[in-house]
Amino acid sequence: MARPLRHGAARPWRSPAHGLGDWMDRHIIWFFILPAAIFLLAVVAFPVTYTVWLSFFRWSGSATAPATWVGLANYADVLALDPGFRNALWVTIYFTGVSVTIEVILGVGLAQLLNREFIGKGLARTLLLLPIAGTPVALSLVWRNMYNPSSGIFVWFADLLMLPPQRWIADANMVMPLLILFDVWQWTPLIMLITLAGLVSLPNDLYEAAQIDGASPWQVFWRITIPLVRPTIVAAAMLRLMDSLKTFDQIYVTTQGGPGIASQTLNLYIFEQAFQYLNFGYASALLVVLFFVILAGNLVLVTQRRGQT
Amino acid sequence: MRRSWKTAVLGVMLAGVALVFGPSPGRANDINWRQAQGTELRLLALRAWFTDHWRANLAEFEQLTGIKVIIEDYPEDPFRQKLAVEMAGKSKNVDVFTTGTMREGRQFANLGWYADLSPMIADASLTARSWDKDDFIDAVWKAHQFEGRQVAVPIQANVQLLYYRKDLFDAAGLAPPRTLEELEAAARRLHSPPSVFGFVSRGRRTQAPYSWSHWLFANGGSWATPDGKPAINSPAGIAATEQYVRLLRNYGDPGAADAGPAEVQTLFLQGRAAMILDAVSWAGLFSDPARSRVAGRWAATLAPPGPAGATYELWAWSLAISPFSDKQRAAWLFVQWATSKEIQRTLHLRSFPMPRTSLWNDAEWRAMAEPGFYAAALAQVQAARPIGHPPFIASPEITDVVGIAINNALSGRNIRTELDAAARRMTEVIERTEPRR
Repeated sequence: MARPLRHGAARPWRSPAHGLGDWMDRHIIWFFILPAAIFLLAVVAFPVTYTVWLSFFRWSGSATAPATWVGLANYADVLALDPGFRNALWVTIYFTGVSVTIEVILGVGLAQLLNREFIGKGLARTLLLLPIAGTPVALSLVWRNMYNPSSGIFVWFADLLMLPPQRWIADANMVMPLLILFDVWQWTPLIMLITLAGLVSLPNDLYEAAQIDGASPWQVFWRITIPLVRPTIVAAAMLRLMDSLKTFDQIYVTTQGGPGIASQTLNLYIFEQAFQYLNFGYASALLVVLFFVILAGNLVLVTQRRGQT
Repeated sequence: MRRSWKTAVLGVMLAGVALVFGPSPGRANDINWRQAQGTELRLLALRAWFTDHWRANLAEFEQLTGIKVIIEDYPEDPFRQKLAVEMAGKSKNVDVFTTGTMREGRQFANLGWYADLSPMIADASLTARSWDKDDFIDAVWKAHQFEGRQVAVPIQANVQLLYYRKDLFDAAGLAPPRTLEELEAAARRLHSPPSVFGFVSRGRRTQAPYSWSHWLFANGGSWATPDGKPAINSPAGIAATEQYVRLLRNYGDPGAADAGPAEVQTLFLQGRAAMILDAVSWAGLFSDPARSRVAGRWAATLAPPGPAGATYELWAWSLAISPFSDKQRAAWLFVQWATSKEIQRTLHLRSFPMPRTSLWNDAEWRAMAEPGFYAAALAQVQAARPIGHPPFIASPEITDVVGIAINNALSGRNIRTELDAAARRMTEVIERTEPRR
């Protein structure tokens, strides 16, 4: 080994520049990490630390009065379940729970369909992927118009089916299911796409063996396909879960959280507290809480993934 | 002696040249418009017709002053977000910004986000006589003062007029409503869904208070008691809300609880609303045959009074200067130009009502405006008060608290319960944000 020699007395003289080059050679790994580390520090660590710091203050951006240190008072307000927060938390969990569940079931089903050969498969796949290709804000405007209670296309369909007139998106009881429908339409293809990638890579021999053993298609699906693609499905669901818990643009454009606060998710509530009311400290505390909500949601899914494989 | 005589002649000649070739007569050269030349200003603006108009004419300002202006405009919510972030960070990069002092004036003034314009207005080397502060309608001008300081200059003067479909009223033999009772009766009579709704108005949480406050004050109610306690759940407040909710639930469009300005405006433009009580600045649009199906078929009248008369609601966007800017003198030159008679006159003639008395008396405009519209709008603008938002520092938050209550009531919930809950929430916000008395 060359290493002991370097520290020996017989070590030849080297210029300082050489020495630096040598030192860099030995620590090269840090130089590769450094840019990423600085970047992360600047765009993640600093804002996060600042948000946590701000959450201990009452501050409205005043140029005349300093921020007031309130300790944990903002958190106490959140945890005392102020009605706005309670509502937003429930709306967020309801929206995410229902829409991600439906998206996973439909997405896996569609992936299963697209995994077999049929005429027009390419076309079907393209059409199914269109919703994710659209700009969320533009699509939200389209859905907002479709749901419009006095001129939307849903009103026309309901008339056709001779249903009694509805207030649609202006109805506090209907608004969440309507938003979930929109979300399912837009994001099911994502789950489908990821699951399909998992399905395509499955080994064929297991299926052949099952066929020889005389397994029914249902058994093949439940006993072979699902266990094998489970990690892929969980990863896809996790992606959707994180996204869904912090949904903003879709709901903001279609309902602005209304009617009343019936569709106000945590993220919308935080946005309003920060930028409409200028309660920056309280909004920061809410952000920290939202972070833990997302973390908790993901932990649940991760244990799901580990528990079975 | 000879020398001074020659100098005098030269002076007179130069003055003559300046008179002939100088800037337009309306913008007399009593101040040095080029005193800040070479400066670059940033205007953080709301995306709107007035902003478009400044942008289209910006070359004129740059030629006059040698000041370059970068206009950065956004739709309302992104604009507010951007402004809040920059002001909270005491950014030197914003010099001039659009503001709605009826909504956030007290809050921004409290936070120190407005430069005091009063000293600049008083400075004869900085403020042109032709800009003429006294030309601004008193009620509108004073609505931009907080704690004795002028915080902004209005760039419009909006009140709410009752627009009604003259053809439908004539066919039904109805006279234009002179009270809120008559308005309700007319709405009942003309309501024939889904083709025509009797009365449309804003019901969305963030928008409802703007429309509802007319009913509140017409019933003798108010946002707060004189000693700063919530008054929205007073008997007058409840009666007002009952009438407003009854109108929209019985004779409004099914989407009333979600309706903002764009929705109600569209309904009237499409001929699907018999009446609408909304911004006087929409008249031009309603008369434009290219965009309106009811051009020539509507008329306007005063916002109808209730049992306690009528308090006309004022809304105006304005221009303010950032106290963190190093270029406040240049910024003030821009504000003067943007709010000058010349700039505002063009807009006024395009039916966007302006806050200047001279423009309301402008012969050309009076000849253009429909007589009923002119009389009603002028009477209201001169008496208007900023009643659309509560007189508190946390006005945006309290407006929303009340907006939620109105919106819930529109969804069928109990009005008294909702207003009581909103009043309690209001008290919490007031205690948190108002200085201790």
